[in-house]
Amino acid sequence: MVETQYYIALAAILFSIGAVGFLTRRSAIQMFLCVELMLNAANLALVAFSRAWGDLLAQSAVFIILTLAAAEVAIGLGIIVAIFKKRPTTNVDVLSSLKG
Amino acid sequence: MDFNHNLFALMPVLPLLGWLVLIVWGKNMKEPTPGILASSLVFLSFVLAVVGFVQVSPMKEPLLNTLRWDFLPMWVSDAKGVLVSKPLQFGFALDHLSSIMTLIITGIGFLIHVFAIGYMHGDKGFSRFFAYLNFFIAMMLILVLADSYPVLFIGWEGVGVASYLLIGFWYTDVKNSDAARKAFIVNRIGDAFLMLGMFLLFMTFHTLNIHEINSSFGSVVIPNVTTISTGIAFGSPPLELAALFLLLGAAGKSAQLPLSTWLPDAMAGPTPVSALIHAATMVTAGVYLVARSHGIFANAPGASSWVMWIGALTAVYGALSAIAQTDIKKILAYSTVSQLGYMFIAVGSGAYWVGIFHVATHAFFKALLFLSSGSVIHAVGGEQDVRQMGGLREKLPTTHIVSLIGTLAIAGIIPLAGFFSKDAILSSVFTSPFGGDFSGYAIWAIGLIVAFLTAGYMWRWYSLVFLGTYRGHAHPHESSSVMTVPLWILAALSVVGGFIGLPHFLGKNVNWLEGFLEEAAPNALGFHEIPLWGELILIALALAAAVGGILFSRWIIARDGVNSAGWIATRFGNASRKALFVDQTYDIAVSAPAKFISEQLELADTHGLDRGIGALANGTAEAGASLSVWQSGFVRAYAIAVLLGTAILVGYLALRSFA
Repeated sequence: MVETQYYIALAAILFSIGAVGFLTRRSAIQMFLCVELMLNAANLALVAFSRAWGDLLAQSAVFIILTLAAAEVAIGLGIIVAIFKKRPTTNVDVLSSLKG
Repeated sequence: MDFNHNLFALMPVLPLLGWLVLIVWGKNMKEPTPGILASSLVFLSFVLAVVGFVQVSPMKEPLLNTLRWDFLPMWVSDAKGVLVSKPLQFGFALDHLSSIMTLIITGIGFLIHVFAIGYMHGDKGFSRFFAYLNFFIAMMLILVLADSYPVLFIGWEGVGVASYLLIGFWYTDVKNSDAARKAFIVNRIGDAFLMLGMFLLFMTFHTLNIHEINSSFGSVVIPNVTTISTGIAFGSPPLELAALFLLLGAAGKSAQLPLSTWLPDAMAGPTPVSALIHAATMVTAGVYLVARSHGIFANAPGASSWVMWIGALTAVYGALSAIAQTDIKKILAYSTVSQLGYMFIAVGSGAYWVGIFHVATHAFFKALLFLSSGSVIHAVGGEQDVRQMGGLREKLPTTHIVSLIGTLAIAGIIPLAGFFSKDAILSSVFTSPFGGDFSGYAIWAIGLIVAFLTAGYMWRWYSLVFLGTYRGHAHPHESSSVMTVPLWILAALSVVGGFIGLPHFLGKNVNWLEGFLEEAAPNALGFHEIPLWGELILIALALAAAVGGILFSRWIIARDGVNSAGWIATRFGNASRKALFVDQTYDIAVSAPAKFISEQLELADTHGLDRGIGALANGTAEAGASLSVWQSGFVRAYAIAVLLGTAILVGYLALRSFA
């Protein structure tokens, strides 16, 4: 059986990739992918802990996150498509009309 | 003939329908149509009133309509202290008292509608005028047909609204709308007291049904009505207080002191309005209220003597104010105030039929006098100053004859209507059980003086308008027959109206009205008996006062001329012209302090409250603006903030768990 810390390490690596990608990319779709990566890193960590403690509670949390993520994808992609219809770009640095 | 017993409940519905039609489609109708429509609906109501009168005459109990619904949920506690639902019903009842009132309202209302077709000819608001008139008739009928105080109150407020709308009918002149507002506000003071009275009655009797309350004193028996025994004793404090509250409510509507000031100003409305609302019907609602609540007042001797005193003071106040007025309608307005005082004397004395008697006769001759002055004003091109009139006897022969009849009737010359009702009032107050040792005689003496003054100022009115030579500059012409026919009918009623209430000594059962109202508004108990010669002396004195007033007035006018320069310039004449300074007193005692307080409050509002709220709003906006730099618009900046924030939070938690 693989030790728990390897899973956690993998989750941390995936999360960091997601976070760095989110911060460095300018395309809304790429940023979106990074958010998914971070979410799944968190899922992996939860499943790993669930196995380590022999408790199914964390796994049930994973299911909720999965469904929420699916919903979020649907809405998020919808918003991106809507923006792209109005503006010729998905560059988030240009989309700053809500600036205070 | 056998008519449906619910038929009478249609009476208010018809004019209400007319109001609806005229308010919605009236603008598109050509001139006489709205007037004809409104008049015919009121005439139909009058027919229903006659049918109701025929139906109710042989009955002992009121006619109750069966189409009722619960409109106010209410609870009372029964003998064991358990709350029982006893909702108030919206229902109408026609008894002898309300039957008389419906006849007056619809009958005179119809005549005045017809008159107004001629009078309002060419007015821009022709259809609006008839819409309001119909609305008034509907509300007044609800008022008199109501079988409970809250339903009565609906009509009470409704006629107030109609009065407001019609006083301010020519609203483009600010004076008229001021007068309308004044009437409405002063009435409101009375209405507040009427509501207090209702609350107190509900506390005391556990019901607001008028017939139940009256029957709980044992004077009227109504089948199918379970009365909760209240054990309210004769003259007990809650009864007296409730009666006083009702009295103040009635004083507001009927322009009694101290709430009398609105009625003279109400003459700003068109003359048919003054005749219908501010002389013949609405202002008598207060008298009707007292007669309607006869059970309460007959068992509240203290409040009843207050009714008499307020009536007496108002009667003398109105008469003194009327004698030096120069506006043709103002003279009649103060006369109305004075005559209403007379009616209050009557109902206060416990002889409720006498009050209603005077309501009826006064409705005849005062409507006649107002419509006559309307005819005169119409003829002389809108002039209202009696000093600019005179000599209209030849120019307006019909108006002159009917005015003379009206003048003699109100003055109390035998055998016209006013003579009988005035005599009945004076003799009932003389023998009243509520007079005590002294009040009854004192009020009787005041009444006699008022009779003298009434004859005096009415003769002055008549002779300044019709006798002598014409002093104005218009070309007077007699009015059309649509206006003169109602005048003739009212004149005929003013002549014969008194015969419904002949004095007792002429024989048994000659007094039709007293017998008719025996069940609906029985006299209070304990009237003194006076011998026949005493009664004859009372009548002779009343007649002497009337004749004396006319002769005195003739002598003064002959001495001082039309402008009455001799005595009008005196301090007394001045006081009379200013209506004994009541308005001025209110200005100083009520208006000025209220104005001062509101000015101070306005200062506090603009300088204190407004400024404080403004500063708060500006401060919030500035604080928000300074924070809005954080809203950079760059998604990645937000992401870094979130990430850093999370890192700091997680780092803090981790470090704390190690420590």
